[in-house]
Amino acid sequence: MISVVVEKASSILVERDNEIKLILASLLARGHALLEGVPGVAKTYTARTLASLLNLTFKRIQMTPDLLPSDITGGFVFDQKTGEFKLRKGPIFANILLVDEINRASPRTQSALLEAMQERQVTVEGITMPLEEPFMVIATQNPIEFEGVFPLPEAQLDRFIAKIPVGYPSTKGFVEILRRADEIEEAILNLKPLVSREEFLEAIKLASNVRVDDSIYEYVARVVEETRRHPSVKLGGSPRAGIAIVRLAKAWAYIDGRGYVIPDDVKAVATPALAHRIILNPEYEIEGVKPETVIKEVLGKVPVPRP
Amino acid sequence: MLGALVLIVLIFLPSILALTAWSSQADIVEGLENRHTPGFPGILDISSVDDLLKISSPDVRRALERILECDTLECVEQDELSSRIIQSILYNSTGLNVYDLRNMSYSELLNLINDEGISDLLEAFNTTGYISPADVDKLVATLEDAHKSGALSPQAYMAALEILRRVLGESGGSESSRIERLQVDAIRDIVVEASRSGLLSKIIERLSGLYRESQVSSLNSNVQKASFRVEGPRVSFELPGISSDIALLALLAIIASLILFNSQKLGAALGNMLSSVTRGGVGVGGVGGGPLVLRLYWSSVKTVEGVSGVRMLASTTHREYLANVKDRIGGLIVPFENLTVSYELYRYAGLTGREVEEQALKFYNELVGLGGGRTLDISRSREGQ
Repeated sequence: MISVVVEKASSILVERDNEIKLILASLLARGHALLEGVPGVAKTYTARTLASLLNLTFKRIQMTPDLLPSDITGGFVFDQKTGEFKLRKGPIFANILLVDEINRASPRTQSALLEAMQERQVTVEGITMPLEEPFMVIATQNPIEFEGVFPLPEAQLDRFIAKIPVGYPSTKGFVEILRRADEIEEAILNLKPLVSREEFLEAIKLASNVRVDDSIYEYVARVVEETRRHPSVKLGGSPRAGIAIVRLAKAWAYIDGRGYVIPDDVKAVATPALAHRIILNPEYEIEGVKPETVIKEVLGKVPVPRP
Repeated sequence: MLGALVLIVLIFLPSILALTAWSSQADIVEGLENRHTPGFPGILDISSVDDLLKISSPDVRRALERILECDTLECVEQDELSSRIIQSILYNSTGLNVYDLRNMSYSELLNLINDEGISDLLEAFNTTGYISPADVDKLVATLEDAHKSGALSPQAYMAALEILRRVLGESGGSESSRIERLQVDAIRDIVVEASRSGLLSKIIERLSGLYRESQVSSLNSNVQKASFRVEGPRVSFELPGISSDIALLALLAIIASLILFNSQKLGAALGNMLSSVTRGGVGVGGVGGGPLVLRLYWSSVKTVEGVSGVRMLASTTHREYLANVKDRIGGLIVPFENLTVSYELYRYAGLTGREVEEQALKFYNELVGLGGGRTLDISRSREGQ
């Protein structure tokens, strides 16, 4: 069922197979994804395509420094006809919320959003309202902007189950995009759902029941612990990072049509789950060491379960 | 992992300490500084023939005593057996007969010297026909250093001394007897080396038929010193002394190793270590112990490693390995891929039924059949469990 969604989305979006799988895995793991990439690499299209195929409601917020928390959550407005205050729900009341350039919003607004992401509920004027399942925030940020941005604190970055880098396509892929640009736009607009919301909720349950052998748990623990021991790392993976890896690995296995996790699943999701949670020592950062490099080294060092 | 590390440390620590103690011993024994042979501990006490060899024949005993006591070659030559022993040892050890040295031409001697610097130096002295006592001292020191360091072979050293002896003799220098003593010392070192390697015993056996192998006695040892006592020709030498601190540490480590060796913890650590090395022991294709599917898989990995030349690293997953060898094992890829899936199902999906085993065995037999190996049936392969 889910593999059909991946197949369809991959046929529309050029060279975005891995990103699609990771976003879907984040969704199945009931997490939120942070897409990091420069403008114009189909971040919005990817999110919109998945929402359409899964028959989920999709909304988008463009973050700005003057955006208020109530602009996201909504608020009570006075209805002159009835003479009562009525709740006007904000864009957060959607299944998939695309938050464009999250680092442009003020820390106050970011916090309000991230709190809603964690609690899966919104409180407006003392009234608490649960958000409809499935609920997923796909936030984007431009990695090269430094002016007029408010970088997310590490604690808030930790709320995202995965950070998914979205890079430029290859030349071959780029040529294909140029050739099919209009066709792609039209295809996204006319997408028909392949899966109902209920079916997707069932898929989330099934993904959470994917079997994880004890040796896999041990492997994940070793990988996370090893990130803390790496000489270039100031702050390594936390237990929450380990939980994120396991959940993503289960979803990844489910997307692949397996009812059990294998070490390859862990390796596939380790970098997206860990990279934004690792803080490097400044001296290594200056030398150009990246968290992704550290994770690669760790994965190349930690033995996989044997025999 | 930690247990295995502790185990390794405990097992190897005593050996390392003992080796450290051994290697830290001075190579040259006090009083024997000028008698040291490169690569030889220099601790043989050769002050008497009894310490070198136990000889039942009075003739051989006398011959060896002469070798050890004489300061000149002429002295050795006075005893025929001594002379024969020396000649045999030198010929067998260096391919050189010392008496030939006397008859060799200057250029032949020079050709034996494998150090160009020393050849040039000797040639310079030979040309001038004169060498001062100070120069002799320097040259002798240079030759000895080169000999001890191994830069100068025993033949070259002997040849250099012979040239020096001739130069000194021709110039009437009083140092020639000193050089001759050095030659005898060098010969004696070769004799000592020959006794260590067993060559001396063989030569004596050949010369007199006195050596009796059956008379080899048992090893005697104590904490500080040890000696081999051999009936018939007897070689006696001492091990270097070990400082009490190091000996105590080594003793403690040995005791700790023995205690742990008998404990369950160590047994488990050993088991883990062995299983991690063999990935399951011995049984199917050299890999056994443990569930059949796992043994079949790891046995097939061994086969594929052999065929592809690609080793499966500890951090490599089975699917990564499959991808790594995909283009290198030809038709084996199909059964190996199927076996990998069987392994996955057994190992991670928890499917442990007979059906998975039979499937795995089928794929394994396909794989070894293609590889020219011996196939298995389910009852036989289960025996290894």
